[in-house]
Amino acid sequence: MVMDFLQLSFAPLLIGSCASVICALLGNFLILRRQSMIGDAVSHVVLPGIVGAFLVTGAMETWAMLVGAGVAALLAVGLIEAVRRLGKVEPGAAMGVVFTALFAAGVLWLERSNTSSVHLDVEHVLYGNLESQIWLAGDSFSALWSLSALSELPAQLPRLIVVLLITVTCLILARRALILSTFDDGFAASIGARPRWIGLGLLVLVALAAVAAFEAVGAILVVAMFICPPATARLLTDRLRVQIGLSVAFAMSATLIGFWLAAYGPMLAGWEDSVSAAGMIAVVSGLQLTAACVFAPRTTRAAAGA
Amino acid sequence: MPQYDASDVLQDRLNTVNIPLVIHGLTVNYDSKTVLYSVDFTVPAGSMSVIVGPNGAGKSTLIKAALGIVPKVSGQVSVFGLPFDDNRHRVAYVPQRASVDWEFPATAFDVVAMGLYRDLNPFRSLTTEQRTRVIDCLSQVGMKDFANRQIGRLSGGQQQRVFIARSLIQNADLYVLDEPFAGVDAATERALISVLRSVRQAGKTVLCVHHDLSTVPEYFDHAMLLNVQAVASGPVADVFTSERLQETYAGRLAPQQLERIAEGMKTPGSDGLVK
Amino acid sequence: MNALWSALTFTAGYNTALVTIGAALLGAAGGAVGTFALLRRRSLVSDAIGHATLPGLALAFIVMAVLTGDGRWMPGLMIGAAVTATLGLLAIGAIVSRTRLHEDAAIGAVLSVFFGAGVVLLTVIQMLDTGNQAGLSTYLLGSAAGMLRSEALLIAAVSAAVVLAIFLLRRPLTVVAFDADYAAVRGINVKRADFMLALILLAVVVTSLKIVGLVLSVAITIIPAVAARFWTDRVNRMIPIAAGLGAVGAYIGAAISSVARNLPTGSLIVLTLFAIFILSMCFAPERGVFASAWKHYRFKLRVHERQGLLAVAHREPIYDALTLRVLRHAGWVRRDGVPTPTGLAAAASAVEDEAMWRLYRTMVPGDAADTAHQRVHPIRSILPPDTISALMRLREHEKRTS
Repeated sequence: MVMDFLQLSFAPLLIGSCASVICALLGNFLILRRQSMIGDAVSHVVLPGIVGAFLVTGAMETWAMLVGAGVAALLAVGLIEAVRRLGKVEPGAAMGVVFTALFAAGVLWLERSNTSSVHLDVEHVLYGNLESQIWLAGDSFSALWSLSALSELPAQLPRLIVVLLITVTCLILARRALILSTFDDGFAASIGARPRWIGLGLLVLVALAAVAAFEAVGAILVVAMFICPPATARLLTDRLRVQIGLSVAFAMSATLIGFWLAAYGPMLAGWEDSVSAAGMIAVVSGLQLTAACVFAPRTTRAAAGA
Repeated sequence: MPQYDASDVLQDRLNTVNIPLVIHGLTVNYDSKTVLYSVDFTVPAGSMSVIVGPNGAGKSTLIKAALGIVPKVSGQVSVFGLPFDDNRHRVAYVPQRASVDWEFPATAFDVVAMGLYRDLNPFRSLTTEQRTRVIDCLSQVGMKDFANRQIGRLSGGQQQRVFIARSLIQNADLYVLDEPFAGVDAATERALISVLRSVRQAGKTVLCVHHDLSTVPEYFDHAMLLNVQAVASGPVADVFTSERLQETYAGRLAPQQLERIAEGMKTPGSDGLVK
Repeated sequence: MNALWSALTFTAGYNTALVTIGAALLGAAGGAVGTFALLRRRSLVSDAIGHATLPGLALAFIVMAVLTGDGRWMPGLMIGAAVTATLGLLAIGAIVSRTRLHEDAAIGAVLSVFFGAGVVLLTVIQMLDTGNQAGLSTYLLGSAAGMLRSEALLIAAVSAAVVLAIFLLRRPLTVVAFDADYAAVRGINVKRADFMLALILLAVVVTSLKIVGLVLSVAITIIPAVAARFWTDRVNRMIPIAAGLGAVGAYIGAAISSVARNLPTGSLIVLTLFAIFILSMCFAPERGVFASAWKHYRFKLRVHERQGLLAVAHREPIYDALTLRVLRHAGWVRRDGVPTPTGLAAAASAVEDEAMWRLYRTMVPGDAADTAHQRVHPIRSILPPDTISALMRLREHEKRTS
C-alpha cells in the first residue's frame, strides 16, 4: 500500500498541489482585478511559445520553454492592448481574437512538425497527464530521504517548487503595490506605485505559472485553478489574507480529493482504469465553488452605500 | 525676442517654485476626440481652488493629465516648480469615489494605511507610530470607530471620509480632490469642508473638482471654468459671473439659475439655492 | 495549388463544395451574431459555451454507443452539446446575479469546470472502449476531412436557419445592442432579446463544433465582428461587413483544409479569419492602425505649431523640442530660436485665428466645445463665410474697444 502510494500517487499529488497553489495564489488578484480571463488567454498562448521553443532547441528544455512562452505571452499582451485601443472594443473581445489565433497557430505548427518523439500533442496540452508522473524509485519509506531516489522524481516537481517559491516571494515583496493598484489604480499612479508595471509583473507570473503547470495538468486545469479556489474563498470572507489562505486550502483539497476520485473512483464502480486526474480536480473545485455559491453567507454584493 | 537659454529656464523655474500647480497649454486626446485643448491654469498658493464645468468638460482629465495618470498631446505642468514626477511627495490625490471598487476586501484602516505606501518597506509591517497616525487621520474625519469596518459596508459619505483620511496621512502641500462631495450626505459634506479648511489654515493648498455650482462661492476663493477649453480662471468674485457661466455651460443652465448663483455670491454663506 | 483552386471554385467534388458552403454560411452567421455579442460586451460568453459542450458531447456519445453501438450520430451529439452548453449559460447567469463574483470569473469557472467534466467523461469513454470513440476527438479541434455528406448538409442547413433567424430578429437585436435603455423605453423586451441572442450564439457554436472544434469555436463569433469594427462604427453596416468577412474567411479556410487533409480545420479557418482581421486592423481607412496613427501625428504637429506661433506672438520662450522643430521646419524660426519675418506674420495670423475661435465660442457656446478638435485649423477653412464675417465684425469691435 505504502509502496503503491509513493510510487504512483506521491509525486502526482505534490506536482498537482504545487500547480494548483501557484495558480490559486495568483488567481486571487486576477479575480479582484476582473482579469480572470487573462488566465484563460495566457494558458492558450503558451502553446505556440512552447512549440516554437521545442522546434528551435529540439527538446523539451525548461528554460527554452519558459523563454518561448514568455515571448508568446508578451506578444499576446501587446497585441491585445493594441486591438483593444485601436478597435475600441472591450478587453474580452480583444483577448478572444488574439488567444484563439495564437492557439490555432500553435496547433498548426504542432501538427506540421514531427513531435511524436516527445509527448507533445494537443490533447496533452489541454488536459495534461498528471497520472503518469510516477516515481519508480519510491519503493519504500526510506526513499523519501535517499538522495538518489529523490533525484528520480519527475522533473516537473523541482520546476514547480521553484516557480512556487518565485511566485510566493514576488507576491510578498510586491504585496502593497499589488493591493494598491488593484484597489485604486489612479491613486497608485499618483503615489508612484507604478500600477502599469505591477500589472505587467502579474502577467509575467501568470505566464510562468501556466508554463510550469501545463505539462502536468494541462491548460484547462490551470484556468480552473486560477478561478475556482479564489472565487470560492472570496465568497466566504471579507478579508484578503483569509481569502488567500482559504484559496490555497481549497486548491490543495481539490487536488487531493480530485486525484483520489480519479484514481480510485472507477474502481469503486467496478472498472479497472482511472479517469483524467486533471479533469476530476477541475470538477471538484467546481463543486466547491457551487457549494459556496449556494450556502455561503457573503455571497451577495454588499448594498450600495447611501 | 524669445531666445532661450539655461538661465531663462532656471529663472522661470525659480519663479514657480512656490506655486503649487502651473499648467500651460495642456491638450489631451482620447479616442481621437479632443477632451482638453490648450488649457492654462495656475493654482495660487494657500488657496481653495475649484474646477467647474459641465459633464464631459474634461475636469477629471485635467487633473489626471497634470498628475501624469493619462498621457497628453502637449503642454507643461509644474508642481512647486518641478515636474510632477520629481515632486510627487508634495501632492495628495483623491480620485472620484466611483472609480474604485468598494467591494475590495479591505478595512477603513487598510485604505488609510495605503497612503503610507512610500514610507513602507516590503519587509516590515506598520510600526506603532504609523498605526497611531492612521488612527489619528481616521479620527480627524470622524471615522475612528469604523477603523475595522469592511469598506463595502460603509455608506457613501463614510467612504469619502476614508478617502480624505488617506490623503491627510500623506502630509502633502497640495491636495487635489476629484468631486469629493458627490453623492455624500449633508453632514459629511460639512465635516469634510471643515477638514479641508483646516488643511488650508495650516498653509496648504486645496484644489477640487466640484459639481455643485451653488456652493462654489461659499467654499472656494479661486476658480477655473472649463469646457474642453479654459473659459476663465481667477478669483471667484471676478470669474463667477453669469456671462462666464453661460459660456461654460453652453446654454445648459437656465438664466434664472445663473442669476441665483450670481446672487449667491453677493451674500456668501447663503444656501437658499436649489440644486 | 490546383487542388486549392478547385476547392475554392466548387469544382473539387460535391462533398468539398458542400463543406465550403456550409463553412461560409457558418462564418456569416458567426459574424452577424458575433456583432451583437460584441456590442452587448458579451463576446467571451461564447468561449464558455464552446467549452461547456464537451460533457454533453461525451454523454450523448455514451448513451448512443450503449444503445446502438455507435456513438457518432451527429444530431444526437449536437443535442447533447446544446443541453450542457445551456446549463453552462444558466450557471453563468446565476453566478453573476446571485453572488458578488463578476462575469469574467463566472465565464472562466464554467468554461474550465465543464470542460474538466467533459475530459473526465472522455476518459470514461476510453475505458468503455466502444462506439468508435476516435470520431469524438475530432470535435476538439475540428475536422472537415471524413465528414459525412449528411453531416455537411446538416451544418449547412442549420447555418442557413441561423442566418435567417438573425435576419428576422435583426431589429430588436440591433436596437438592444445599440442602446439597451433606449430599447426598453421603446417597448422592446431587453431580457427576451438577450435570451434570443444567447440562443443564437448557442446554435452557432454547436453547429460549428464539427468543423472548427469546440476549443476554437469562440473565434467564429469574435474575430469577424472585431474585424468589422475597423471598417465602420455604425451598427447597421457592421453586421453585413462582419457576416461577409466571416463567410469569406471560413470559406477560404475550409477550402485550404480540404487540400491539406492532415491539418486541423479549425486552426486553418481561425488563422484565415485572423489574417483578414489583421488586414482590416492595419489598412482600414479612418479606423485602421496606419490611418489613425497618421491622423494623431498630424493633429499633434498642428497643436504644437499653433502653440508655438502663439508663444512667438506673445514673446514667450519656447522650451518644447517638438514645437521648435515644427517651427523651424516651416521656416518660421531660425536655428537660434529667433523668429523670421514670415514667422512673425504667421504668428500674428495665429493670434487672430485664436481670437476668432474664442469669439465663436462666446457666440455659439454649445458648438464650440464640439469643434475643439478643429481649432488647430484656420477658422476660415472650417466655418461658413457668413459666420466668418460676423466674427470679423466682433473682432473689429473688440480691437477698437480694448
